[in-house]
Amino acid sequence: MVRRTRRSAPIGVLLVLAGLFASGAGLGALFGAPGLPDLKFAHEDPGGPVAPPLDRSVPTRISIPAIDVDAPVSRVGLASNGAIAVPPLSNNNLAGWYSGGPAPGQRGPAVIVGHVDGPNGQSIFYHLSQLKPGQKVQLRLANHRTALFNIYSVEYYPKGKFPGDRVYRSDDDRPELRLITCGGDFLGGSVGYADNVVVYATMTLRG
Amino acid sequence: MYGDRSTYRIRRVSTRRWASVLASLAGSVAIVLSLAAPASAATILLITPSSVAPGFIVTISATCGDNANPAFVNSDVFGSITLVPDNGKLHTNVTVPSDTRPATYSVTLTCASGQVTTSKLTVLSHAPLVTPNPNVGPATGGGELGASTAARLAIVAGIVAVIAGVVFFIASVRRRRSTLPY
Repeated sequence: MVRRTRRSAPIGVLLVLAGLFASGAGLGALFGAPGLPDLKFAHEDPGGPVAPPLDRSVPTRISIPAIDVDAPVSRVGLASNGAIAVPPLSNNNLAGWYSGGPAPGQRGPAVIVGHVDGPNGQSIFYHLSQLKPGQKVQLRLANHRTALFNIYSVEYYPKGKFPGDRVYRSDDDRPELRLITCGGDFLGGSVGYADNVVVYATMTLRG
Repeated sequence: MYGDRSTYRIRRVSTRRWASVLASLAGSVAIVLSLAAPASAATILLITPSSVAPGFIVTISATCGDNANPAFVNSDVFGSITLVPDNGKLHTNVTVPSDTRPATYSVTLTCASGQVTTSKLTVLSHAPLVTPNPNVGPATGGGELGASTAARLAIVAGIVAVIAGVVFFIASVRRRRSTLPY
């Protein structure tokens, strides 16, 4: 009788400690993970006056003051599954512009992708999901011109439900911008992250 | 009589034969000469591809006779380039600058001999636009910071363990009390 009671107490303590540790680790992973935007902000294209299109010029730098992004832009093509390819994971301050599409300022949406995380922790677009309509994105081009965009929507979708039509086309072929990264749960394997986060912005005349 | 005619025929045949032999000889000589002559004066400029998007590479292949000497290639697209003989060939790769204005440009080859020829290079306004797979988004993350089912399981298991631990502990305290003599 006495032996039993002495064993139960330490087991109890161990269980509590182990449980706290496991919960803590799990919670840490959940809270440290990139967030998903509030879908209440899924807005339609605002319309309004169209900024006159710019000549095609390769973007060299992207700046998003609201989330402290100021980084170089490289060129990316297509991955083997036909989706846009991505810059190297090891560089956590590099965006990729899809060169098979419009350049920022040309008619249609210019698409820029960036990682949410990588081997060095948070990556260039880690805070992308926190952007709000009305905030600005600036692209510097190789011909020294600057294209300024006004965000109108921030949305996320499961990878398999990616709305290609909405992402790769713009109403009236307006000069627009799409910023894409990953979010949601990390599933690993060939899917990677469960969702994509897409920021929609339209070129603006004023800052 | 017969002997005379046959001799006559033989003579005619041999004259014809000689004529055809001479003709083919002359022809052969002519062919050889025509092959030899242009070989020393051949000036050829080949640019592949002939239509290219800015930022991409073209291959310049030149022929200046036997390619024993360097040659020069000029264009508004890439300025002036010297081609140096490389195993009897004159060739190089050139990148069309990203900011090249779309147009058809003239490219001139000047051989060491002074022979000149030109070709054309068309710079497109952009590489062909291709819409990516509209059904799949890019794989933009390594997952190092990602929440996963493992994380959620850990939380649940952790809570269960904490509860079990507390239960064990309470049970052990109760038993201790019950074994007390009073």
